[in-house]
Order: sequence, then structure tokens, then C-alpha cells
Amino acid sequence: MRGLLWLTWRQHRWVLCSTAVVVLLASWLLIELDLANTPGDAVPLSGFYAQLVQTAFGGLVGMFWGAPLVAREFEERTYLVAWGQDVSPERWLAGKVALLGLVAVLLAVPIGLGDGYRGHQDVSWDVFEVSPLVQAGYVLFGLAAGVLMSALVRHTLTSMGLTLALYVAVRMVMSLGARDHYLPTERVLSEVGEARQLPEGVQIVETGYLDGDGHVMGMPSECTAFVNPQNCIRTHGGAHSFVDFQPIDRLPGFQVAEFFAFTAFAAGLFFLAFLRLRRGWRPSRSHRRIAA
Amino acid sequence: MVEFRVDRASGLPAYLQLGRQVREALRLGWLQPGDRLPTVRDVVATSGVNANTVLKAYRELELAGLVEARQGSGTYVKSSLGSAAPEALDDLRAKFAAWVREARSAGLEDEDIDALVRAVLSGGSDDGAG
Amino acid sequence: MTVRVAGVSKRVLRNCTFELPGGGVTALVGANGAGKTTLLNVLAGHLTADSGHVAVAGRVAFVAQDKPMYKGFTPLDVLRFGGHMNKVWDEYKAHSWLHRYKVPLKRRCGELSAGQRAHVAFALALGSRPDVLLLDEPLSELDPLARRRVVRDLLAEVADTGMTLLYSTHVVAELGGVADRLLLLSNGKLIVDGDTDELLGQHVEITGPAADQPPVRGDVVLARHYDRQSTFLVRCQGEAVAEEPWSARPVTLEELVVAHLEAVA
Repeated sequence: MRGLLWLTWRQHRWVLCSTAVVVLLASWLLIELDLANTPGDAVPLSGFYAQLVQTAFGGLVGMFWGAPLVAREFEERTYLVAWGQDVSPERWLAGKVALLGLVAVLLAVPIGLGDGYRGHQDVSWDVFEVSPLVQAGYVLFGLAAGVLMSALVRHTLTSMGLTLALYVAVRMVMSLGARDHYLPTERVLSEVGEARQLPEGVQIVETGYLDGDGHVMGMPSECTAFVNPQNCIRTHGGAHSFVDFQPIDRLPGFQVAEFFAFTAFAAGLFFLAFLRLRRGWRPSRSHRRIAA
Repeated sequence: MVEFRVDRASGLPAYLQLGRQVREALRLGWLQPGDRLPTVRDVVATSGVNANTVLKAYRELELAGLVEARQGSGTYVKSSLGSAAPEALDDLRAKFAAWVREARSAGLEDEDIDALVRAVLSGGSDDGAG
Repeated sequence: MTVRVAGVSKRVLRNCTFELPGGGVTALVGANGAGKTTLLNVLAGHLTADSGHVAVAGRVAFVAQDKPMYKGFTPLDVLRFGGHMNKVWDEYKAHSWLHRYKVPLKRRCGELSAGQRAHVAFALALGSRPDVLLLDEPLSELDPLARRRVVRDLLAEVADTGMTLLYSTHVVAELGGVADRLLLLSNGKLIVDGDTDELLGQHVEITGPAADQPPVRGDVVLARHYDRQSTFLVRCQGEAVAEEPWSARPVTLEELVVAHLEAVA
């Protein structure tokens, strides 16, 4: 393991160092903004900046650490050197992934500390990704996506592009579709047209109308023309309006769930990358036979 | 001490070339009984021939009774080559030189002499394929 | 047997079978695209054969023809790499190889000449003290003087350590006395496999009056017929004695290889 530590450092020290510098600067700015602004101050630009940093981090690590990891060895044909020693390709990959993964998780901590405009003590669904744990999950997933792509396509630029695409796609599906349903939503009913009482800080997942039997009904097309469609909906059989939401006290649990979901994805992708390496390259050293 | 040279483009297997060079050295007196042949490692390192080739050459010389391997100390020349005594050799050489002069005065070129010698030699032995 | 290859097919290779005993030097010869590199890659474990069976006893080191190396590493880094990544590592051996060939130790490999990079690759391979050393066109970047020195030093390594050396080459003229075994590949098929000395002893070129068959027993590798003359390159069983009006001439390894390649072309 010490050898792989040395090798990983020797091969990736520039990209490791430059990433670390960028990450530390970016998160220093995040935390500075966090401390400078009090809750309620609307500073959209710094909030946007936080969103950008926290969305990009995992993807960038995937692109610049993961995607070249195996692909560059193929491009430069140094896989013949790397996997021609006593250390097997699988161990080589395991060592590199473990070390890079560890550093990436450490860097995820400052990235997940500040949201840029609400003060870091604030708890809100809007800043779901402001969490070292969630960022750790993302960065592991990004790294795994990069490693798998680089083992599959063997071409660095292609691998970087595919990594970005996979990372963005999975992040979008998860944050737009899946994340709101980690637990069944809670529902508040009110008479159509009546003001409803919602708990503080909830994440609204869905709103709509129920008919007299309690079934969800769509918005009648005739009613869409009205500025104030409540009467129209009532005449079309709407009995209640409902709001499905996730209460704010579920936020920490959901962040843990998000972490585990992305870590599980990462584990799956790493596993596929290992399979790929093992299938293509049997251990070349210290064997008595290479069965075919 | 002999230094081996291998003509890599020759049709003669390298181990035979080495054997031939030892024989030549014996004939010409460069190697005397009791002399030690270079170690296999030395021949490999200086001449760039395979260790197996050197071993094969030494084994062949040993079988021919020219050298002997002494346990742990190397391979030594056992007997000299050339059946004739040095005086007899000198005599033969003088006679042959006289014959060559005669042949030249009869108008033979060196090439003709060479061919003649070969013809006589091959006529005298069964060895047809060189 | 140190290396055993049984019925291996991969890419161009078709049903290759041979065995190498430990400690020898084997030359792998063949035209471009004959499958030499594929065979070496299969033996090194970088390619998996489609069918057949490969067994290698012990640790293998492989130096590819283009001598790939991490461009940003210095030769010293490469030696550290070798030490870290191998169970057995002979720092002295690797270091002295670089020293002997005057490779600058602290310059990045990307800035070294092709020949110097080849020496870095050799140093890494030898430093790991392999049981089987596979070299693909090892001498292609080297000048004639360096070629001779490298061959000498590699043979000395074989003599010292008893490792098995298998290397591919185009330069058949430099094989004599170096390789004790010859593997000749043509279009993925192994067409000659034998001890070089025995092969030289068996093959003979016989010239004489026009005839359909040579006057000796054996396999005719190549026959050329002219108006009044025929020339046969024959692989004889036993001693070849040509009687008048036939004459026999021993052939060189190069003639032998060329004849076999021509015969299957």
C-alpha cells in the first residue's frame, strides 16, 4: 500500500494540489460569505455561487481525477508498465481509488460547509446540498463514474465527456425525481379556495385537488382560463385541495439517505470498473498459469 | 588466453565456431596444456554468445579429449593438437613451400593452387560436405 | 518447462503450440504482422487468448517495442516505482544498467532519447529479477555498438540468473550464437520451432543438374529450377551427403529463415 501511495502521489500530485488549492479557495469564499451575511439577507449572487460550487465539485473531480485514471494509461501505453509489475491491476486500481477517494472525501468537507448567504447554522430544504456528507457522496460518485468511463473507453477526452454526462444525468434524476420520495410525503388538506396551514420550512412535493371520493383529480381544462379558478374547480367536483410535502425535520435523514444512495452508486460503478480490468487483464506477474 | 569471435552470419553453428577457434589456438601454440580456458561467464560477457553455446563448445572439446573440466575451478587444456612434432612440422612446411614455388613457376595462380590442394585433400578423405 | 503455450489463438495467431525450458534464449522471428507482438502480449498477460492455454512458471517482465514509460518520471522515479511495485527488486542491478549506458538519472523520461528510454525500460525489467523476460524488438532504437553491448549484457544476465529470455527480432543476421532456440512465425502460424544449432545442421543447400527431387532424404523447403540446374534447400534427416555431380553447401540462419518464409508465402 505504501508503494501505491507513493505512486498515486507521484503521478497525480499536480492535479491533486491544484484541485486542493481551488477547493480551499472556493470554500474559504463560501464560508466568508456565510459569515458576512445574516439569514434573510438575500444575496442571490453568492447563493448562486454556492450552488455552482456544490453542484460542480463532484463532477469536476470525476472529470479530472477519475476520467484520466485508466484512460491515460492506455493512451500513453503505460498500462504495460503499470500492470507489468508484481502488483496486480486490481490492486493497482484499488489502491489508487482508495487514496484518491479519501482525499476527495476530505476535500468535500469544506465544500459542504457554507451556503453563501444564509449563515451556516441555517436549516432549509433549499440548501440540501450544503452538507459535507452529501458532498462526500457526490464526489465519490463522480470519481467512480470517471474511473468506470476511463476503463471502458480508454480515451481521456471521451472519458471526461462521458463522465460529465453520467454525473449530470444521475444528479438531475436524483435531485428532481428521487430525492423527494426517500420517505412517503405528508399531506395537508384544505377546502378548495381556503387558505391552508403548512408547517414551517417544508419541502412542497406536490399540490392538487381531490374530488369528493378523495381521488386526485387533474385541473379541469375549462378552469385554466380563469384567473381565479376555485369556483370552477368546485363546480367540476373538486372537494379539497392538497399539499404533499416533506417536513423540515426530515432534512438530516434525507441528507444521510442521499449520501448512502450516491455511495452505493459509486460502489457499483467501482465494482464494474474492477470487473472490466480483471476481465481484460489477468494478473501478469507472480502467477503459475494464465488460464484461457 | 583466447578471445572468441563468432561470425553470426555464418552457416556454421556458433558452438562449432568456438570449438574451431580453440583447436586453431592449440595448433598454433597459443594455448598450451595446462592453460585455463575463459569461464563461460567471461565468454558470454566478452563475445556476446549464449552461455549454452559456450557450454556446448566446451563439452564438445572435452569429448574430443582436448580439454578437461576440473570441478569448481574451470576448464583446462589437456593435450595439444597437431600429431607431428614441431621439427617434423618445420620440415613439412619447407617441403610444401618448395612445392608452391614450383607450382608458381609452372604458371599456377594462388587460386589454382588452392583448388588443387582442396581436390587432393577431399580425394584423400571421405568428407564431402564441408 | 518454464513457458508452455498450447493451441493458443488470438487475433492473427492460430493454434500456436510450443514449450520453452528454463534458462534459454529464444528468438521469435517473423514478418511484420505475423503475430509476434500478440504472442508476447498473451504471454505477458496483457492479452487473453481466445482459445488455448498458456502457462508461465514464475514472474514475467515484458518490455514492449515502443518502450512506454511515464513521461514525467525521471529514471530515478522509475527505479523507485520498480522497488515499490515488485516483491523482488534488485536496485543495484537496475541502477548499474542505467549507469553503464550513461542514462541521465534526473532528466524526465519524456526528454530522454529513444535509446535512453529503452535502457530505462530494460533497467526496470531486469531490476525486478524476472524468471521470464519477454522483449519485443528490444534493439530497434539502439545503434549497432549499443546493440552488441545490450545483447552481451542480456546474455550475461541469462547466464547469471538462469532466467528465460524470449525476444522478437527482425535482424536474423544477429542471431547466431545468441539465440539457442528459434521460433519462426508466419501469418500467425508457427512454422519452425527448433534448436538453432540443430536447424543449421539439418538445413543444406544442394545444387546440381536439373532434377525434380534432391538426391538426399528430407523435406524440400524451397526448390529453384533453371534450364540445366536445380537448387534445393532441404531440411535433412540425418547427415546430408551429396555425391557428384551434386554439391552441398551449409546455409546461414538468415537463408534458412528466408527460405521457410518464402515457402509459405
